[in-house]
Amino acid sequence: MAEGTLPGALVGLTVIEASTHILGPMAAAMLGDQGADVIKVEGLEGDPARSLRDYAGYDVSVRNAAGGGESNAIFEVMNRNKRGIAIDLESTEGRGVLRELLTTADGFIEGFGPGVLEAQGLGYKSLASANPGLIYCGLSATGPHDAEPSAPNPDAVAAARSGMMWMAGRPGSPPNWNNLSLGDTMGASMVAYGMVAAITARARGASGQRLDVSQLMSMAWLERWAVETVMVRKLEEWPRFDREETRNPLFSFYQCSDDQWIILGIIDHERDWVPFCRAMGLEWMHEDVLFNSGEARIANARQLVEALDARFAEEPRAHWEKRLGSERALIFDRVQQIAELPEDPAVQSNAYFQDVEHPRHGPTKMLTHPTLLTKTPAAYYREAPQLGEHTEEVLRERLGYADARIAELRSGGVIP
Amino acid sequence: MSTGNGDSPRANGSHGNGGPGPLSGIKVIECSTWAFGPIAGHMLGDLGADVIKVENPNMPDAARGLALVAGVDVALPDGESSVFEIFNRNKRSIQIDLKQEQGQKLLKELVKDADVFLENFRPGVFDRLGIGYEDLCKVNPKIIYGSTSGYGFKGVEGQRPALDPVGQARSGLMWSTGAQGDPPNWNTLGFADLMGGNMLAYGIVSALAARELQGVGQKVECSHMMASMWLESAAIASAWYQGDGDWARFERSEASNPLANHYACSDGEWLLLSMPDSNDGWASLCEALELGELIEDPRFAAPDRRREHAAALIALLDARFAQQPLAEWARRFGESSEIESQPLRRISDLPDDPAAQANGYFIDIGHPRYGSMPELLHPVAFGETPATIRRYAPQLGEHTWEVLSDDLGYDAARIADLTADGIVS
Repeated sequence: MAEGTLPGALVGLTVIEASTHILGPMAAAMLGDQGADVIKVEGLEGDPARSLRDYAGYDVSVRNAAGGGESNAIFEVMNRNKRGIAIDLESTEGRGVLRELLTTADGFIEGFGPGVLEAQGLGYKSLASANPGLIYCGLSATGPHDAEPSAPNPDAVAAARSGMMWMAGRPGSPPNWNNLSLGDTMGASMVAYGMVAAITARARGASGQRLDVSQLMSMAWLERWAVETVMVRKLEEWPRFDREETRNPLFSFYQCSDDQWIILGIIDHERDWVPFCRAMGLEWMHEDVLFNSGEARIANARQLVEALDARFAEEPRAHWEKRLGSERALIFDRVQQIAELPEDPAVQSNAYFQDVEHPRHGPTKMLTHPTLLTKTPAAYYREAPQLGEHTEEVLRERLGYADARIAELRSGGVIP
Repeated sequence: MSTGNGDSPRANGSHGNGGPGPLSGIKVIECSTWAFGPIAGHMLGDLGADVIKVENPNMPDAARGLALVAGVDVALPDGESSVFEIFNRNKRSIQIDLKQEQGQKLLKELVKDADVFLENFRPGVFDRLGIGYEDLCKVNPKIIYGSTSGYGFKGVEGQRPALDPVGQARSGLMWSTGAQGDPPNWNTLGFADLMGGNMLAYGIVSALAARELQGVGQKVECSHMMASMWLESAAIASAWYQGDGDWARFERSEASNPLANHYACSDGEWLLLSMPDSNDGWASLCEALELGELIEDPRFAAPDRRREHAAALIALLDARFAQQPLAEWARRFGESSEIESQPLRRISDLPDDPAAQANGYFIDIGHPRYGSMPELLHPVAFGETPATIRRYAPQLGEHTWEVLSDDLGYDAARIADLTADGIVS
């Protein structure tokens, strides 16, 4: 922990997570980053994400150097900062153990799907009667009401259903599925946000409550500017950005001689047009009737795009970054790949990546936290749990089970 | 100041100037502009906080009156901007000239009784005005101070100006969306701003929890770049957890599971197949597509075979899908419970989505000047303390008088003096 800081915001709280893949696990990991004691409950077969090999066409498997067993990048990152227990959730006895854990938990994140836990007597109302302070977050593909059976890839379905797939690419190009799992990563972030809001409310005197988050709503919320603009402006559809037809070529992106791209974010023409021309060595535009006023530049935007395309293509990106950077107020930046991120100077100065040492995998990198709390910062406490790694520890610590009870559960096949 | 009539008829007096919701009773002072700051502010307002937006008379929120953004016409009939309207609901507006010492003193008075202060001006601006975190901390040691930057506060770019496009560019997002072979894709959905605002809200609420649980106020920092990278969490995990940074955009002609891919129909509409990476439903799908001969085809009969011969299968499916319109494929697939598919919808279809309706995702706030105005309610549904939309976006300075007199107890003479001196309007 850095000097002068306190423990994380959520230290002292216990959160139980029973979910798979990314949506629930990533949210729980975010709460774990902030110091909550997160206990991941898995069935005896474990979270299916443990055996993930292929993610978006990449082999994400990590082979252990020692100790047997395999894992993968997605599981490891999405399940950091948690302990893990395995219970036979198909059995009445196993569900009884889960219920007991939930009696003293502060939070519960579950991804079984609408109605599933209710049917097993573990729904919110039932749990709340024993633990009125419980904050229960249900996850689903489209929301708890009128839910259809879950598709194998709810994130892609949310992308199709929300209109997101028609948002990417040039106008006229086919719809496009970006493989970022936005429904999952945005959804997980919304779960974490909702949980801390409910935690705050409870600390200020409210009771516990049930939350619901879905991939569909999360996707809609991410694109909400477009959604609501379409509604209020009564547009037929949201137009994709067309760099050749844009009316403000200074708010667009260009390719340099080394094939690298650069983006400009200039909106204050009154202030920035002259410095921009200076940086670009385009002072001739001041005299050119096509470009020498705001109205002219809008009317002749196409020609301006062509002129800028040609000019940027004359030099490599580093040259333009230096020139544009010499004018203090101009907003621009390089268009980077994920591959370039850990070496990025801002990433390094602000510790956006952290180097962690995994006991079996060795050194590796992961993102830190999306927001910095300067006095109670997030931290990395532990690697993702192996299947059932903390079952006995948690049952003893949280439920006071002694040797005989543990042995009974084990011989009954309720715990491994 | 204006005396507009922007309050929604749903304003709930029993929560003071805020509403019900998890943040009922919390007071937020917001000095923000555009999207990053305003989004965080209205989200806190949605959750019941009383949000007071402070705007400078000479430099109100830049989103007001914005007619065109990235090629989209966003003007409302009376010249206001839908960007401002969407990002500033659930707030009151007061005008204070923060460049004047008296204005800064007034701000400090407001902050004294507030829980949260948030601003999204360039790093350093508020410090130079004497109303940065260190200054406001003296007035209110438990204040939670939300702040933003393009790239983080540390390092040589700590005070560099930024807007949404640079967050998308620098984080790798522009090379992560769009099709392989295309130029980088800058989407105008404002991902960096949207995610930034959301993560700032998350950070501020986390700090509120920390205040309750650990007893401290603190500064909360969020950047365009980090928020954008957070959206890429899964991709970054794949690329960098024990990896070499490899990451490329999805190429549909080579999808490793051709049954988790989207296909063009004869009418230009598209359908997403969303089948598992197993043989469940494979035969039913082939039959529905009238491609029964493929069921036992050694190239395609099992998932690993389909992965190996993905390009060939996708080409066959492309050709077949292109022979019928979307409605026909949807009809046929609907007849089998084993076939998972989803037509690609447009954003404008979303309010009619049955799940969006069943779950109350939209609420029509019925604007007095613009009429019917469906807005998304909130990304989280809270069972006991739901989010609400109580106010339309305020007109400039609409609540100056109200805030000074009701919140600070100033009398009419004092307000008149401040107005005459140009401190407030």
